[in-house]
Amino acid sequence: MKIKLVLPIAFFLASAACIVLFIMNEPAFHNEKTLYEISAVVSGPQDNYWEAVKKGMDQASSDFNVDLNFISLSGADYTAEQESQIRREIENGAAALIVAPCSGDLSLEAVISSAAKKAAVVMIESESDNESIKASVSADNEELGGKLGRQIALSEGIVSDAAVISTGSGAQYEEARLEGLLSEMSAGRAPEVFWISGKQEDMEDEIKNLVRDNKPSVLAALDARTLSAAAAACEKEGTAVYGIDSMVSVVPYLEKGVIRGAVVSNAYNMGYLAVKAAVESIQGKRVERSVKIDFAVVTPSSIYTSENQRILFPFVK
Amino acid sequence: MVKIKRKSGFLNFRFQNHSFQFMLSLSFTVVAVVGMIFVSAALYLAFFNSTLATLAADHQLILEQVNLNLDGYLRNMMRISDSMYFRVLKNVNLSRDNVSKEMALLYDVNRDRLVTLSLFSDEGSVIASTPLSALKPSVDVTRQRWFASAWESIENLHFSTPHVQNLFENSENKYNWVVSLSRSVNLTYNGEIRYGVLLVDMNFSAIEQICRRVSLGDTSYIYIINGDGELIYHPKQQLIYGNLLEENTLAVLGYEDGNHLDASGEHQKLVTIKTVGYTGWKIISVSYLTEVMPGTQLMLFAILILLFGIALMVFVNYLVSANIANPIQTLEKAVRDIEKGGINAPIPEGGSAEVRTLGLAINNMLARNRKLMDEIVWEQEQKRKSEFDALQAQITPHFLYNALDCILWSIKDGEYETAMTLISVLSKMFRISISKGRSIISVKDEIEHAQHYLTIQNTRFKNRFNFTFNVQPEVYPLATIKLIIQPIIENAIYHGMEYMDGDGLIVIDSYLENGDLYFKITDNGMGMTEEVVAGLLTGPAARAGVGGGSGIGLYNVQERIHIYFGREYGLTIESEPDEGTRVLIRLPARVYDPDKMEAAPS
Repeated sequence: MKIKLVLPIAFFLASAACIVLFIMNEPAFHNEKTLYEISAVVSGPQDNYWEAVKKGMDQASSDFNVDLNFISLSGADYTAEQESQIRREIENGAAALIVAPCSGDLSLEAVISSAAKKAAVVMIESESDNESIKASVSADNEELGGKLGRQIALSEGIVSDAAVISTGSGAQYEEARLEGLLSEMSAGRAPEVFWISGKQEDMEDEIKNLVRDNKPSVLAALDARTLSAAAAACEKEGTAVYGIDSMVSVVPYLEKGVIRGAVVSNAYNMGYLAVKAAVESIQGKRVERSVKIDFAVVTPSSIYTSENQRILFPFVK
Repeated sequence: MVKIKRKSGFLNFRFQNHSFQFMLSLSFTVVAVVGMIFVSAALYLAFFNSTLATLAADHQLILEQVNLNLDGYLRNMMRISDSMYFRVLKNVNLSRDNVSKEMALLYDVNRDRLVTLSLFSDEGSVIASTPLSALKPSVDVTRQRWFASAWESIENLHFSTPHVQNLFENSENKYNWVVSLSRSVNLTYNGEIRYGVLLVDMNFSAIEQICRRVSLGDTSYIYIINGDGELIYHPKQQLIYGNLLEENTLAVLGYEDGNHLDASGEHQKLVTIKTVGYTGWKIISVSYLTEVMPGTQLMLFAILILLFGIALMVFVNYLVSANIANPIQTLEKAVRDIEKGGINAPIPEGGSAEVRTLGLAINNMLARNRKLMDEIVWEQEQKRKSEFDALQAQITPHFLYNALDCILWSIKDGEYETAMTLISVLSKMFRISISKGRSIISVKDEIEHAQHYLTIQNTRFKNRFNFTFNVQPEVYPLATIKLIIQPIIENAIYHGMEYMDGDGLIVIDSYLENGDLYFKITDNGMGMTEEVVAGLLTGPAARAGVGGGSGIGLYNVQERIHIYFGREYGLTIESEPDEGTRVLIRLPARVYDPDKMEAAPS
């Protein structure tokens, strides 16, 4: 009789223990929600472009219960500043890091790799072959460059005196865009590539000098900052400006026809998907290694199409 | 019916291998679990329906409130448009009058909700506009959607979907999302009526604020679509615009106002719809039932509680069934023991009243059986005793003839002394033989009887043999079966001594050994082979009586001893041809008491 009772008693006690443990450990019974500490270190100063990215990140933070620390760069040496910011965020215990590398420096790459050992790292804007990076969220940069080249050819025909301006940071996105652009503009004389950097005003001056000295009929900018500087510099020069990653501040230049064409990636989506990938990485879910975002070609006549205004003017609260 | 029988047979087949207690536990548990599941399901459904009804009522109330606010806002915008049209434009000659002042006044009163208030000619040129009036060179007003809508149906007011206001030069480069309210208007120019379009650009954030104020829960939300299913407002509008989220607005268009359960997506949801007057916009609230219904964790918890309940029931059922089944199982075990022959095994009388009654009844039945069996055994023993006693009685005529014949010859030969002795001995023999009808007599009488018998036989056989008695004095008071030595002596005489010529010897010993009484009858006669010895007590020859003599075989003696004292007592025969025979009789050493011997079973 005693031996026969052991099994039901054991079952009974085990069930009771399971329920107690379940109640003690189940967050649903404590109204607890996991808060994810995520930091985003972007590749430039706070401007319209990164604001659009941040808006996407904010929405995702709201959706996935993320405490987001968004950090833009402001110093003279972006690479050093970005390395320092990444180290600091990792030391502060960020569970995940979203980073847009501002350059292709090996030291920065090493810092990102090191960070990836302590936190989930998601790259935006650029792509990476680094296996330790959980995911990269960006447009197909080579295709962006190619699309810009095709748009220039479509609007301007074969151009033999085009110039390309780039920050020359060596960042993957810049290299890929340049490669895509040059491959599409190979029909005419290869455009000359100029590296410009510094603050907005300095860049504008550099571009003005460049235009004055070289008199290019077409000036192609490879990112939002150089495009903004090129548009401001060429407003009165008559040079046809094209570029990638437009932002709200350059819309007036598009309306005026200073910028004749821009290939614009969906920065809001990039921000949203980056945070989502970071959260999923923290949760241990399987994350797609390379997430591609969409982009659109915007010309002065197509700024206000339904699709383009949704990309150019993110609809947020 | 056949199927039911077959199923029942199947169940019986499956269950017959299990114990009564197991069956009870299983039955109780199955019934309880099924009951629990039914009750749980019923409660869950009741809870589900009640929650759903409450939720639907709440959402309808909320939508009524949102509709009230939104309708108020839109009517206000329409009043602005009406005021501008009916109070200003209808009363002015635009060739002469300027309406900018009235327009600015209206704008100032409603500036929080308005972005621009503009009047355009039928060619798209600006007649009046506030606060901005310088049209962008790149803008062709006539190609604007709101402009075209105004011309499509000139009597109505038209509400656009949200779009970026891009008409006027703006030094701050501000790009506002607006909802445009446009209408066709009649403009008077020196009595000539021309057409124009009046535009009221409503600040979209005002609509957003109306909807944002509503709190429905973590995953519930409100959105607004127009009559074509185009999104007016959605809390995650940019995600939908960026194709990261999908809202099936076209499906909702098919719904009437009220509550609808929509199972089209991954999760079932409650969709409540309210149509806004005039605009045809629909305010839609969406609640995922997973939010209001128990989630996975709670369901898991409920299942765990259910399992715990089942475990508790198994435990309790086990105890209850054990309480019921154990007395029955004990009873069953006792009955099995009885079946195996343990008729004296005790029958427990515990458990419930029915089981106790059953145990009592079996006990009574067994007692009666035991009594009946004892009576039958006693009767059988008595019958056998009677039979053997009857056989024993055969001694009388045969031996009597021989003895009387011997007495007769003694008288004829003038041996009167011998004849008298023989008559005296014969008389004593008969007295002992009769023994008041008892089968058990004292050893003393039995020895005496054997001595008398040998005396007669020795006379008859003319002293061809001698005999000797060696009897321990302490055996005399002991009890023995009557006339068990005489048949052995008779056999010894007839088969051993008949052909001896004066040197025959019969020795009778009686003694106690290991608590038993022994008689040993030894002769030096012809002896027997082992086969003959073996057949003396068991074979057919034994039953028929070997050879002549009195006709009473050793078999009869053996059987009588078995009947009276059990099979552990009886005869042992050892014999060698030409050497002689020794017969050992073993009996229990019991003091002879004529009052206690041969009693019937009680």
